[in-house]
Amino acid sequence: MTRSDRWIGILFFLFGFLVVREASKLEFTSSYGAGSGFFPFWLGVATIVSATIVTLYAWRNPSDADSSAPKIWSIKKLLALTALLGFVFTLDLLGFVTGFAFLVAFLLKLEGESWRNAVSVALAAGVGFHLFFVRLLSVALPVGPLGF
Amino acid sequence: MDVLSNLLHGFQVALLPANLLFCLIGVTVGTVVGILPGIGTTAAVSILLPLTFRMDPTTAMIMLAGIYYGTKYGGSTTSILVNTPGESSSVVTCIDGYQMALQGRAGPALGIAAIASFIAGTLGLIGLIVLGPLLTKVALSFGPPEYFALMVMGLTTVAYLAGRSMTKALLTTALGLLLSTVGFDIFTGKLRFTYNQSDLSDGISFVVVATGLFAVGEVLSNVGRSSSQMEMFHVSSRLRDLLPTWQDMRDCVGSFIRGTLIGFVVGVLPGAGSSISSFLSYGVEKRFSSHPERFGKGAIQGVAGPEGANNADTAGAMVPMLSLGLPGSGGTAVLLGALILYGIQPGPLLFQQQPKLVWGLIASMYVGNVMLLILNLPLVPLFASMLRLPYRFLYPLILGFCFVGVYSVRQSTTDLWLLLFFGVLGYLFRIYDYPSAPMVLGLVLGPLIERALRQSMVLSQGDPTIFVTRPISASLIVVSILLLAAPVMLAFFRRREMPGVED
Repeated sequence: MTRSDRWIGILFFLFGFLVVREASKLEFTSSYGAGSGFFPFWLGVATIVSATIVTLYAWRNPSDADSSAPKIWSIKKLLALTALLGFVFTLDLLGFVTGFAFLVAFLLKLEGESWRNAVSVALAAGVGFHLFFVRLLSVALPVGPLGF
Repeated sequence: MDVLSNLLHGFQVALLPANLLFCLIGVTVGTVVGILPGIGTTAAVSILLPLTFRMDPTTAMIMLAGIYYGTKYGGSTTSILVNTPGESSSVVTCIDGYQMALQGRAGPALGIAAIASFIAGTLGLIGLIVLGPLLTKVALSFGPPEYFALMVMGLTTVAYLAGRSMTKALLTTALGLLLSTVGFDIFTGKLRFTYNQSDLSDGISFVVVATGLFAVGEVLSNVGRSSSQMEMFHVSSRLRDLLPTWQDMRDCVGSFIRGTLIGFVVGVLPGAGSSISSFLSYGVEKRFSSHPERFGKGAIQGVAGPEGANNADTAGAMVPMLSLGLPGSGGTAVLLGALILYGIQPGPLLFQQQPKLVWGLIASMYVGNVMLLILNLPLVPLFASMLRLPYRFLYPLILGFCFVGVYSVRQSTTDLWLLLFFGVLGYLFRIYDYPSAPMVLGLVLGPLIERALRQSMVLSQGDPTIFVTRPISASLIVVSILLLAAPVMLAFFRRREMPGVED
């Protein structure tokens, strides 16, 4: 267990508590025996118990593994994640193929590729996905103003 | 006799042209996935699952299973040629496989890996054919309480074996089970935990969760890492140079058999996984060898045993999945989820109600193993050349496949937001060492466990002692409790043996 597990355990504890509270609002028993809230209620309790053990164990036996861990969110990772969020956000506006081409170009540029490489791979990826999924497999993907 | 006629019927199904084609596609994709770093079995099967919705379920399962066991063949290629395992189960192959490559024996190392995989895969299937129907007969006498207890035991075993910390695995299992309660309640039709989001009324698809945790999570953890082109050994395209010598084959006969036995037994256990079977096999090979000092320096048995074990493991993992409806890993959980998505009820009745699917699938695994042997010997140089593709070009495409796969399930943008959420969660799980597979298992098994639990409560008119008054369910519950108590008991005995030593 690492020092981070203390906080993760507390987070899971709170989550379990929330589940128990929400499950209590549902029927605990019904004419069928157990109600809608029975199973999630006990799962919430199990989460609280497990989270408590994780937290207590991490508190009693902290290890310094965290200090040698790599930086969790580098700028590159954050930018890549933002690009993914942007892709989903603009999906209905741009359509899948156009949005995906933009995403590929952005990610390749982020990885240090030249504009020429990034744009040509992005175009090829967009066209390839359109031909394979939309034309060949008839997968219904969001369509943008350009018709694909 | 009954088994033999069923198997023959299975071969009739597996040898249909469409099934042969999709088996070939499955094993080829599996090999490629096994070779390429950054995408694993579970992710590959879940990404491609939505594309199979319009297929016949038997054909679809043949293809998905092909991906599942095909990855095991591909994983050894990178271990031997670049000292980087494509799959976690091939980590141990790096030790002697790479040493063989350094000594100019990359070809025979790849050859023996393919042959061991083929032999173990084929022998493992015999185990599946014998044990599967037997286990089904036992399980047919199970009622809802026994099923509930069985699934609880399955999840507990997974938690016990899945990660370094059992508590962390239990936490992710509980999370998966909780996710399965989102949406319509199967008994009363009432909505749970949807918070007025109509997209959540059908629940959270396991495709979204598995793809997010395993594929997007892996991509996020690799973004920004320097991805210099891998240096690898040249592999001859001549088949003669890939074949091991007769002496090599004679040296490895015992390794093939031991690897198969270890892999199959470990595969049957829920949660043990291929990595454990290959490491266990390596240890056994070293112990059985008359020259243990050669291990780590290019011993061919160090490749043959583990590679056999991680392939026999796939046949073993199919035993509880097909006969009990109990998956033991993320990969088999997705396969079981696929069955549910096709409208097929998993469990012991599967062998009776879906003989075409079950026996067709088993027979296709024989066919697939032959295809993999043929693919993996002469085409190894071609597959290996894929490693020259830098990861920075690969991961945007992997993300594209994830988005298409998830979106095509329900045409819902909410699923894409959830995909990113579970991607971030999967990445954090990796960083903080929380196992993801139990979460997918919990999500897939959740509705089945809840149904068994509530049916049991109906039977007992609300009395929970029904689980401890029936002998089979009581025994299974006792095993689960022992598994839960095992880490505490082990720590206690260790302290007693070594007074003064802190745990």
